[in-house]
Amino acid sequence: MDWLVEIFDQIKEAFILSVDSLNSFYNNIESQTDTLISMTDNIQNGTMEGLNIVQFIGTFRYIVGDPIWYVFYSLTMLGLGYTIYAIVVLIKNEIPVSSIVGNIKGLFLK
Amino acid sequence: MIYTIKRNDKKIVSMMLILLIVFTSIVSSYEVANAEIVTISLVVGGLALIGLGGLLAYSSATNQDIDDFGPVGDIFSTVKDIQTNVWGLLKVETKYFYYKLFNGVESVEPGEFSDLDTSIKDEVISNVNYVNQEGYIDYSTQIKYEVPKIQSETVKEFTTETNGINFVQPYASGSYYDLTETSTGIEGIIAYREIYNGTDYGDFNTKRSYIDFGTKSDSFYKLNNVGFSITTKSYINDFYYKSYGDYYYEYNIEHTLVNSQSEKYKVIFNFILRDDSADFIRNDIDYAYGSMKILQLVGSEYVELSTNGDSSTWDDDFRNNLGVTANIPSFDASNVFDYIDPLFIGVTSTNPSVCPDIKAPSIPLEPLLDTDIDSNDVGLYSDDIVTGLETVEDTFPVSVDNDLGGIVVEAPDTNVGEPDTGIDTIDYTGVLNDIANNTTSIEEQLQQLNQGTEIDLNNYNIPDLFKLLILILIALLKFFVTFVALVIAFRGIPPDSSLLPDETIQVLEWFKNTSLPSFNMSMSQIISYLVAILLVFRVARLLKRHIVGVAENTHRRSLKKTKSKK
Repeated sequence: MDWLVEIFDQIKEAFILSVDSLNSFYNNIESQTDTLISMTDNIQNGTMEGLNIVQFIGTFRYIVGDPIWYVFYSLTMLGLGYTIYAIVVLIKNEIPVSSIVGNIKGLFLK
Repeated sequence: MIYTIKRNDKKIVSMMLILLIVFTSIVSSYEVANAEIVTISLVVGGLALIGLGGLLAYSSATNQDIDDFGPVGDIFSTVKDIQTNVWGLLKVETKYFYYKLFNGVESVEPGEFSDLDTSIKDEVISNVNYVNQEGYIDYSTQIKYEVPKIQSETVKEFTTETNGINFVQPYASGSYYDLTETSTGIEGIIAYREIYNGTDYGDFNTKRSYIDFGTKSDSFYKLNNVGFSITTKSYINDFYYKSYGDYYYEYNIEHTLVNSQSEKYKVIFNFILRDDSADFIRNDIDYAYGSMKILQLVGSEYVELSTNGDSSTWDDDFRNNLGVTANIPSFDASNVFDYIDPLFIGVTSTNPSVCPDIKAPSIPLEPLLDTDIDSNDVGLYSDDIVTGLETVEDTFPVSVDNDLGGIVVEAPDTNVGEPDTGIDTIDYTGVLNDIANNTTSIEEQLQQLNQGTEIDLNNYNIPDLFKLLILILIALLKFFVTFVALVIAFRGIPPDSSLLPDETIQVLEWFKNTSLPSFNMSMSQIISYLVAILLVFRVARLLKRHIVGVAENTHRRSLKKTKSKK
């Protein structure tokens, strides 16, 4: 029966590896989120040192002036919002929410 | 604003919620159940609603406790207990997800769960402990015994905001801390004895242990049961929870030790009390002083205990209510061992009801440093403790009657009458050496746990996978929200010229500052406005073309569908 034990060991090992990988993934997301939070805090506190992106944006704003900067910023926000909207629509089209709800409803209401 | 509390208010709301749920269930079941059964249920339910409504109205009008209404009151209490327990667990879980989602502080108020049954409370505690760990695995379950590192040189007396740290407990023994005041708050290790008698979690007179940071009335940091456990939170009334139940603090690992006398100790590592938390508490107390009444339950009614505005009166009343009888007024940093003796050598009282405030004798013990550790020294604890994986009950504490051949000193004086501690001599040498011997190993363990390395993977369970998937979803959502917040924050980035050479800055400044007489604007402003207008027009044209294209495609598809149907 060693082969059976081996199979279960492999299943268990795969499970452990998958959980470990997911754990690493979760930690990475949290780490990146912390980075974004620290960047946001630095921007709000006026700390520019060590933030190349912020310095670049500040330089761009200095060169082009406020009118162009606000147009660029507005377009960026519009693009971001449209992207989110497109993703939501995509998810909505890919996941048959209505059929799932209908199936669940059918379990109780006949 | 004066805030008063009536017990029946909560009960009426709770009962109405239950009735609403029952009524909704009956109505919704109409589709699937027999119509006659539903009709009978509706009639019975309606009569019950009318009866309970009248009962509640009578109770509310006469301000009489509904629990006193005989069998109906008993049924009501049973239903209410079930509802309270379920609702309490839901609140814990909700706050847990809130904590993970927004990385906020723990703000579960122990008073919210004062009515829970003991078994449910244990469940809540386990959940809360789980919440407080980093990641999704409760690492604390892997550490069965820990000894905090003793570093007497790091202990400082707090004199800026507070007048020392006081462990205010009816039995003031068994407390230890190693805290430092940093630029951001107070950090360190806290170990204290958890006090309660028996299993009655509801009577605050039998269990009170809290840590009082400071003695100044305007900076009265009171952390009730710092271990974030809800069991020892004293109950006076809801106001007490509101004013003193909110506190912000952080810690990494909490562990409960149980000695042979079934006395619980809690050890908290990496405790952090942030300054903003102190401000929050202070502001909250200021608010309480000015606008809220202190209520006390007398019989079945709450009565006003004292007037507002006088902080000293409030403090006195508060202390009297808690029945605080022992208070270590200040901390002497020169002798850290004064505060560790009962905790780590297992000194116990033969009569818990008169448990004295036992202090170590003022013998000239040298502070124990890492360099003083003798690795060959065998202390009171077995080697199994060093691994940190043995059960507490097997190894902790040891009897102080063991003869270790070390320095034997006289028993300390007590400050509560003349209690019989049953202990004549106390040997500190072996204990302290053993604590020091264990320190390195435990430190390594903690580092490993904090770094997330060398964790025994076999400890994963199937539910961990689902928890992890939920946490990942929450983390992704949080990442997305954070990213949006960052983009929004970009709007406030000021112009920055630090990356440009001086010559370029001079030219740009000339363009920005030189005003053209005819336009009363600078050349830079004119160019910027013109380009911005052109950009807006260009984007508008692109958008228009895109929208028209989408509309035409949609129209073509609809025409195709119409033709194919024909």
